Amino acid sequence: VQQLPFRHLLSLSWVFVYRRFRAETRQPVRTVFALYLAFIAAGIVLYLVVGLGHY
Amino acid sequence: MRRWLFENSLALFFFAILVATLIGQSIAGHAVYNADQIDHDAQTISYWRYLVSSHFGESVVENWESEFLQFSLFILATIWLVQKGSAESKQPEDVGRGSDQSQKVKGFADDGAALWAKVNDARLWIYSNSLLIVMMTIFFLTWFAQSVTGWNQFNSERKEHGDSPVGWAGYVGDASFWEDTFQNWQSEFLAVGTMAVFTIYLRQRGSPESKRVGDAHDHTGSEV
Repeated sequence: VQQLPFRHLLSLSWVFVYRRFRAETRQPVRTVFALYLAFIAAGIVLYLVVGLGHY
Repeated sequence: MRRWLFENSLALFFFAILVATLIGQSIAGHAVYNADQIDHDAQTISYWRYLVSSHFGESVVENWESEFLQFSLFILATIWLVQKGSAESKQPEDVGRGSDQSQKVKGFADDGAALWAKVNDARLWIYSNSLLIVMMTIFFLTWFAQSVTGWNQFNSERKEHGDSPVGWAGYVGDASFWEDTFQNWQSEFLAVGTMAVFTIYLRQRGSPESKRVGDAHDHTGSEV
């Protein structure tokens, strides 16, 4: 990745963000951070699907 | 395990009461929804069906969006605005985004700091604003989810009254969407403003949200 001209663009990809998240965060605090983020994301996705799925 | 529970007790406590109150809201909301259906000689629905209904969804996300707007605006406003004597404010002389040294970025970063705090490119800008970016993103997504679940609800009621359904843009331009939105926003702004002002003169011993009990009224910020 370091040798590619678009490395900064690539660095924003989901895989990189996830790797960065794993590298930057520390257990046990990472667990509650992920818990909140996952819960909020699940709620948003669920009710967007409910709302938009009706049409 | 006990150590883990203690070190995460704040987040776990609020997550537990979040789940408990969501369950309470869903049980009460299900009863209200079915009572309304019976009043209109319409079919009642199961509890599990109610959990994935626009009725429940709208009432959940319309409250979520206003909370994330509240904190987003508070994070943003406190960069440049101050309240003398408030525990929620920084010192008047510290307004603004701070120097690289005071923010400990680039060469001033701690050894254990994030990589993106040490670099000098777009990643530093993203990481420097990551809290606001994520909070604002959640706000806009939940506000959009409120609009689409509210749109469903709105058209269901129109159908019951024999009216034709409206498009999403028609609902977002309708007064009912803005009534739901503003009624949530006003209470959040009142709560934030109240916290900023009440902490000038009032105290809660032991809470980081308060100044120390013996701090002078004109002491700004909760830090020592």
